[in-house]
Amino acid sequence: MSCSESYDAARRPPAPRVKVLLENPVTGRGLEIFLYLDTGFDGTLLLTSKLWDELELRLVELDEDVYALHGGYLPVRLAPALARVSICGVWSALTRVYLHPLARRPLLGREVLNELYIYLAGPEGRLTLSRSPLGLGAHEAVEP
Amino acid sequence: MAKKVFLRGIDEKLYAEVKARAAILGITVSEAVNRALETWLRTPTSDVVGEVSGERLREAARRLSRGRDRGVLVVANDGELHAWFDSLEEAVEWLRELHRRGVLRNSLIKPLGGERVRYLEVGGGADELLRELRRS
Repeated sequence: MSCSESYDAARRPPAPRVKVLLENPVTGRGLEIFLYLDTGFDGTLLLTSKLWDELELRLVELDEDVYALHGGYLPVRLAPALARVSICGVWSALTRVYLHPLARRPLLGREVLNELYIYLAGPEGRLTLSRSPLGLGAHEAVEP
Repeated sequence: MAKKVFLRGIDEKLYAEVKARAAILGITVSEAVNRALETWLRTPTSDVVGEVSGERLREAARRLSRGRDRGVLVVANDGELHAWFDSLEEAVEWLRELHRRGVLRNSLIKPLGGERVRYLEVGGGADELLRELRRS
């Protein structure tokens, strides 16, 4: 099973993003949001204060010391919590998510991305995600 | 007018973080403290109360987990309730039940025996973040 999403064309340059259902596992409240794919982020999901408040994630906050580093420096304390995450029907889990107090855009990091096969069709502004290797057509497209 | 103040009981780790960040931003620690105090005074009282109850939960979790290095501790309602579990899923299930009964005010989940401090690199956000910090 795979899913396909359009890049965010409003950003310059356009950015790959994916629709994710994020749910508070205690209250059951959920939100559908777009996360930007960030292979430079070590963690799972990095969330904004607005999303944190809307989902009341303080009810599932974890007592753990976690810091974000930016370019290897500038540590910023993050708040970790548990959330149920479902990525366009392809991947779902109860997992740690992180509030970054200064983040303005939610990110999807390598801790989740590394579990998926992702094909970025940059020129077409589309990406495809799957739990299993993508079809031959996709691989042919990236061969020189 | 600037006033000299001597403060006891400042958390050492917190102070080191403030000092490092102030150095990166090219401001003094005093300036950073002034900005933090201004922000705190502008914070709605309800949020400040939330921070106090967060600290109460942390304190209760610290006290209850002393001498234990396995399992998951959950503390709720300012430390009035607590329970131990083998997994995070069970901990969430207990909290969901409290929420369903309408008695859950606040909570904190403390997994034991993991890494003490974790650092996560955030790739491309450094420039954006620095701009944000300099503006604040």
